[in-house]
Amino acid sequence: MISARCLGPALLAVAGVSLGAAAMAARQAATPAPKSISGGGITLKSDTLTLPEEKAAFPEGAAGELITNNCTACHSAEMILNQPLLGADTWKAEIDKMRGAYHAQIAPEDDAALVAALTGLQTPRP
Amino acid sequence: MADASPLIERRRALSLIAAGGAGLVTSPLWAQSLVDLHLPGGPGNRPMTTDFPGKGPMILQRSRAPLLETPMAAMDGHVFTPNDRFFVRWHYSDIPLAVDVQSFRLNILGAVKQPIALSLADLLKMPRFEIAAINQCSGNSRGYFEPRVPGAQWGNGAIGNAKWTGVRLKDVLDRAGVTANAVQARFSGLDTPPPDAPLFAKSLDLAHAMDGEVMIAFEMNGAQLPMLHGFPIRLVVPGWYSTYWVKALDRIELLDKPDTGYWMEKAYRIPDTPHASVAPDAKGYPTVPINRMGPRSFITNIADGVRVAASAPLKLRGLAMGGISGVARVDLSTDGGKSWLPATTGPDQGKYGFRAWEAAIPALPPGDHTLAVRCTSDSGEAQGFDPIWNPGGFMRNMIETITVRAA
Repeated sequence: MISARCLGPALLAVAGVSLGAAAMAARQAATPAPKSISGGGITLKSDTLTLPEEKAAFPEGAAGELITNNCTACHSAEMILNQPLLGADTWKAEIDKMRGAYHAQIAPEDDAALVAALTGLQTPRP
Repeated sequence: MADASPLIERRRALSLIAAGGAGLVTSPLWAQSLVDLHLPGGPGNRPMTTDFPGKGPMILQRSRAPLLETPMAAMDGHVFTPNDRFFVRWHYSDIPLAVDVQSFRLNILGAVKQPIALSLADLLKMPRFEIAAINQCSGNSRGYFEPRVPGAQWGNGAIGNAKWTGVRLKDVLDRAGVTANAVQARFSGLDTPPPDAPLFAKSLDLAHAMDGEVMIAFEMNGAQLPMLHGFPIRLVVPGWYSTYWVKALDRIELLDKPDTGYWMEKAYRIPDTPHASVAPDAKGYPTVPINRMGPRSFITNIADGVRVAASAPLKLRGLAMGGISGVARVDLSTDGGKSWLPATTGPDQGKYGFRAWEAAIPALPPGDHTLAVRCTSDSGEAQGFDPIWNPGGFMRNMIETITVRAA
């Protein structure tokens, strides 16, 4: 049974060979077979990745907008939303690191407002 | 073990029932269920997600660049972590979204006799090498640091074990011919930094790179590497943290002096102290690049906070690792470490991989109990109770405890 099932597609593929070259090319263009490379019993196939939509966002309002504009070019909102209560000095150090090490486009004149927005975002520890 | 089903799995089941009842199954199915990582001071809640291609339910730490954590329940009973539940961690947003196996090349350059560009066909023709090895994020368990530190707020699930198939790095470097002045090999991949940010590149000393165990993998647990895990090839550095396991590896540069790039000189540094630990107010201590892993062990069949039967022996099982040597023993304690009960370990499937363990502890009297699990490695290194702290949130490998209520 298993071998018969496997033969089905193989027979179809043989039938395909008899089609005109132009028709074959058109079919291939419509559904390109994934390219592959084989060797030593292993086959590697070309691959793609579709990333999901981001769902997390900062609260609406000026503070949320400021964080979105300054921070989310490089990473999604969860990175900030998941941080523990860090305090103003640590948030300032994070901004300096993002700007210094990763060249994030954060205007220094925004720092004070951004630190205030980030600390304001965090629920105080009970 | 159905009576002790972990919290996470129960929530999954509940959310399935809820979705079925609504008669409308859409993508936020898993996002409706939250897992609580119980991080001290919070926030510990994370959504579960199935939105990532090729992935089962994962703890969503960050959607871009992806940080996906493996629920401890997904590791239960699996010495080899399934690819679809293996944790994911990328640094930069611009990760490879398409790889053509025909045009892909691995470039080897720098202090070599002959720079070369190897195709995947070239690599597939080379002698094969296979090894079981744990891939653990340097910051695994960072969320449990006290005081808390900034960074990815992982629970204990930025870890997984796989069988890696590929070629020895040594064999690849030999094809280019390393010259006598080479001291390190620097590895980078297809992920692209934001404008002006440093390329994510990590280096190993040449002797380490040539040790015959560091390898380039094209398969993970018998399947080609998923895109999220670095297709088409990634570096595997057995016994060392995953920061060195460069994904979508396309460039190896032999250096004639030690790497002074950002990712070696500034990032992923640990205090050069026992257990990489310092006092939270310490300053001016020497640091070194993070390197080898230490022993760890986890209880995987019951979650923190569950109720257990007071009248019957409690069956526990889990996973242990030795770090750079194998697992010698695993012990359990119900009295805060005053006495220890040996666990039975499963087959040794490679000293760099997980080892399964199981134990039955005597019936617990009614009330709350703290269960502790400790691994001792073949090199005699044992997990301890003393807290480990450093500002990077790295290298946490203390004895893990969970609390159960016997009733």
